Amino acid sequence: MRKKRFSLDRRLLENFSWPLMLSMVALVACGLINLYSVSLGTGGQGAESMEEFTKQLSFFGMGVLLSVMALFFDYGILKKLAIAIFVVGVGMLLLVKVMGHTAGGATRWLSIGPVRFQPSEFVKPMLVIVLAAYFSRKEIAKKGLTILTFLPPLAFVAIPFGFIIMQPDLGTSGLLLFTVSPLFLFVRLRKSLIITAAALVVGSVVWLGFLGGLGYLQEKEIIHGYQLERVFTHKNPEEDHTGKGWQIIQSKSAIGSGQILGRGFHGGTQQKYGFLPAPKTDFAFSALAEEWGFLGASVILALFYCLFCSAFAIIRRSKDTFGKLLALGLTSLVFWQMLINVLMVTGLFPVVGIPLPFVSYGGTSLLVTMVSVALIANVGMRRYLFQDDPVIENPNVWQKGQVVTVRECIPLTRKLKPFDPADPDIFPEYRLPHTKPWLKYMRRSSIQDTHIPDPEPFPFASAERRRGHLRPDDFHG
Amino acid sequence: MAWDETPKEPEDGGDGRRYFWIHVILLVAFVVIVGRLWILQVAMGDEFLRKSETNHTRLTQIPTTRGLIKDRDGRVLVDNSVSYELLVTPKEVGEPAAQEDLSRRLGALLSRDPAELLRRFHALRSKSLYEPGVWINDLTRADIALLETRRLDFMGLAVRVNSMRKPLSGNFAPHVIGYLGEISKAQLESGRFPGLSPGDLIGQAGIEQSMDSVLQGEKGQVLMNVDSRGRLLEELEKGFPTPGRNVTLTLDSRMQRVAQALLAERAGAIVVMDPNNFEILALASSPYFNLDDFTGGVSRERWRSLMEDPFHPMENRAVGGQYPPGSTFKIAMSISALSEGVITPETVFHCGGALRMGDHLFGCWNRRGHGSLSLHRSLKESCDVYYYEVGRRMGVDRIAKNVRRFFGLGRTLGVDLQTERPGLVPDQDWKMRRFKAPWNAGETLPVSIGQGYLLATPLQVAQYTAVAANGGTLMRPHLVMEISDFEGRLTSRVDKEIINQLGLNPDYLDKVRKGMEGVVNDPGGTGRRAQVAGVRVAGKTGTSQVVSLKRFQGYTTAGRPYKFRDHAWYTAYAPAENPEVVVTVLLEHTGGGGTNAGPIAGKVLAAWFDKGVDAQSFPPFQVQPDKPVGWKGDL
Repeated sequence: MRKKRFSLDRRLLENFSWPLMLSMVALVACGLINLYSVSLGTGGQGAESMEEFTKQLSFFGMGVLLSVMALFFDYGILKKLAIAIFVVGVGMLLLVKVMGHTAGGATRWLSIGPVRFQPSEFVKPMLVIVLAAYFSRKEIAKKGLTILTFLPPLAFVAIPFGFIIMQPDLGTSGLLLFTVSPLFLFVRLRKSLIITAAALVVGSVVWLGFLGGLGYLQEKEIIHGYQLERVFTHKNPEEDHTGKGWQIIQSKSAIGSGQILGRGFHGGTQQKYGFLPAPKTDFAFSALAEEWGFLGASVILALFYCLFCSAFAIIRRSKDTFGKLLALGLTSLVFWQMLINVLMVTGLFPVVGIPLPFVSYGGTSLLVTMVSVALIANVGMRRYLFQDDPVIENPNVWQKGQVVTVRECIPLTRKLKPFDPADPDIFPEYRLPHTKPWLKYMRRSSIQDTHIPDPEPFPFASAERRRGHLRPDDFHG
Repeated sequence: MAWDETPKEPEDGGDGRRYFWIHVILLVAFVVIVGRLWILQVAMGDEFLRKSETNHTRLTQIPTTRGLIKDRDGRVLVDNSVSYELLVTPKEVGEPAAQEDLSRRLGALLSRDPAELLRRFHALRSKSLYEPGVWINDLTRADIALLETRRLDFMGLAVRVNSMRKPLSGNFAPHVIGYLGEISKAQLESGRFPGLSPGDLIGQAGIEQSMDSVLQGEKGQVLMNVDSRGRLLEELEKGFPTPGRNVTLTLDSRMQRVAQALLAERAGAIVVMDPNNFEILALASSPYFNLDDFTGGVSRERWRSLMEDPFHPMENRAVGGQYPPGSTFKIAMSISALSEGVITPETVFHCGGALRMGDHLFGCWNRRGHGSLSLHRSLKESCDVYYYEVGRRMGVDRIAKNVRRFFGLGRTLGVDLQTERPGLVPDQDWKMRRFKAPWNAGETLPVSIGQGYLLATPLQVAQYTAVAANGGTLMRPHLVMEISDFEGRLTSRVDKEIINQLGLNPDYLDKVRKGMEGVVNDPGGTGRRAQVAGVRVAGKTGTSQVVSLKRFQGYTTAGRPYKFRDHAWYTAYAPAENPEVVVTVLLEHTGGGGTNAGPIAGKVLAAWFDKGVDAQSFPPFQVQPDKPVGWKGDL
């Protein structure tokens, strides 16, 4: 019997999405650089304010550990554990309701010993898992959602949503809806359901907008005045120089003053002198854009774009509905957070307390987003489990055996290049001597045997004629 | 084989359209974000950079000290004193209720009217709610002590030390010295005051106004970095202030005091001038205001009462009051006529009490007539008919040309006061422009005795007296003698500036001067009341009619309404042989020049020669007996 050692299936590594993970790590690194610059402050109390940086750094380490852990199990387990996960999530929210920590008029935090965290952060990926598990059930995948089968997922969303909006946290609860919306769009919907849903939406809009529903909600304290105010101050931030509008103006000034190349590391005066609100958390992107300019901000956005594209590649290539939906939901989680945060700091969206994933300071958020991305990668890694023809899809893996040790994996890093279906190394029919001429010095056999036809003797007159230098008349006098 | 080939399943399991739309959403999101960043950072980047720079840098000005004003002996007339201002940051005070509460508590602490405090709080003109504005500008040291002990009860308040103007005496030459006032919006926009900002004080009258650029100095500036709470982080640049330069006036304080004491509160003006260099030794105008009312801003009530006063105390009559010069003009007239060759000193005209021109009879002040008389007697007895005849022969244009050229009438010569006015010398063109009517020959006759359209300021009367006294040189009258920097180094000295040299036969001019001597010294002279013991004085009286209404013909001065009474003029110089001082006295609506203005001119001259005389030598002011107290007049 083979010695029981930690082993890695070679196919896992073959399907591992390096761009996804690398862009995530790069984003966290950028966030750490930014956090370091912001933490430097105006000088003076350096040591004290570095606390957050080291904290974030240790959270990053934790995140790496957790993500690696999240890579090593089969995500299919999650489908089986879906109900337990849901119960744990709702239980945490219930605990918050009962014994949560209150700060700033909102009960959002849960304390376990010295650790304090926001359960609502964990609930978002949990909800994604639950919905993915539900939608990947065979009958739903086949028949589509009817009104009846639509009700359970609605309840799955509504319960945590209700808890979170009661904390109250309008931002996170809204984000919850944004996050799960692609999942609903990705299952087949029956016409009856679409019609009912449309009627409901139209009805609620009419109630809220025209029949005084907003006032009713406010009266019952389901929606708070400051939440509405937050939404409505966005309309004209220039008028209000004190609260949210002031934050938007300062944030815009910070971003704008960065111009193209930025003001350099620790050169941003908006964040350095304290004009930028919350430069470590919600407005981290503004601080970054101030110091690194349009180029720096574009690099961050490019990294995000790379991350999303590789995540979509995984979703698209995933053969398993659960995996597909899971990856989709988690991608959507990161995407909406990023989009809302960036639109918020650039003044295109009301100020809601949603941090920029990977970049903003915040341990819980960092852990959750990193593990989410790791789960996406997990889905991508395990697509071979559902491959129709593994040999055709991963031929070079099958040539060399399936089980390798970690040590053996290391030289495989040269295979990091993305799968190229037209790779002549894999498919000999694509070997074209003229595309890679240097290969003839490397290969012994095939190139030498290749028959290279002699060039045609140069037909002088006809060539000249073709070029138009001489016309036939010139020859004939 | 074709029939059993299953169509190739797409890699994504048939969800291609959804993936397409997801990608579209992703792309749109990123395009929106990048577009927004482009707008903010590249398109509007400069604007935001500026906004960000102004966010964290603050330019604070260091106030400078204004230059001193001294008299010709170096005595400081206007000094600086320290005042304390209470600054308030409206944002830190907060709600209207809190404002009221703060005003009430502050009013109780400093024993001031809370309502007035609240009103001034609302009137604060700070640039933003976060900028401190001046709430109270006359804190005392005791107030500051009270405030400092209760500092925590009064958040948002701060005390600033400010330099304030402190005149030697509020009553001393207020029209000449002038006062400071806050720079107005129009003045700021005119661009004449670079480096000043709203709320800064500039001279608004007198020497303070005309010498403002000299006195003002340059403010220092500190450019500093502040954080979002306005705390100072570091000073980036510091420019130290330059104090204003000191101005030494030609004023002789003693003569000024004497002149003011002699005028008392009668409406009028006294000009004392050195004929040899046209330095103004005293420039009194009455009634006057008190400079102390204007330090630290004049109160609204005081300003209104000054503006509504029928005697216009704010007006500087000595340079800005325009009156018909009356018979004093005969000095200018005789010199002009002599230089034009219209008369010689020996030319004799006959005065029968009146001169007929056309169907109009122009009367002499002496209805019985002076008989046949030459230049000397015409001046001495101030015969009007003689000058009617001269004027008739000269014509108004030649009169105008000569008096403008020789004596600077009809224009300002640039004495260092902005209230100086040009007077009026009429001629044919002027009448055409002004009334669209040709000049009547009959209008020349009143002009030739200093009536009619002719107007002159007391300073201008002093000018032609001085020209007669110094042998025919017209110079620019001036008040500023020297300018020195704050360390006392002389930076510039004002020399005499000759404007015109009269090319008249010295014997002829001597005859005019002899005539003026006769006015004071000869029996039958009109101005014998100005005689000074031990000094030979030369002068000329003048009584300029305000109106020539027939119905007041027989009335005495006291019998007429105030505004129809004659102005009394007296202009004199002494000693007659070697003049060293010119005195011109104008008393508004007082009556005959010889009887009313003459004694005053005599006393001024006597004070000039007796250095022991000062303001105390004269009895305190008495209300004119015919002017009831509180009388506003039928003006």
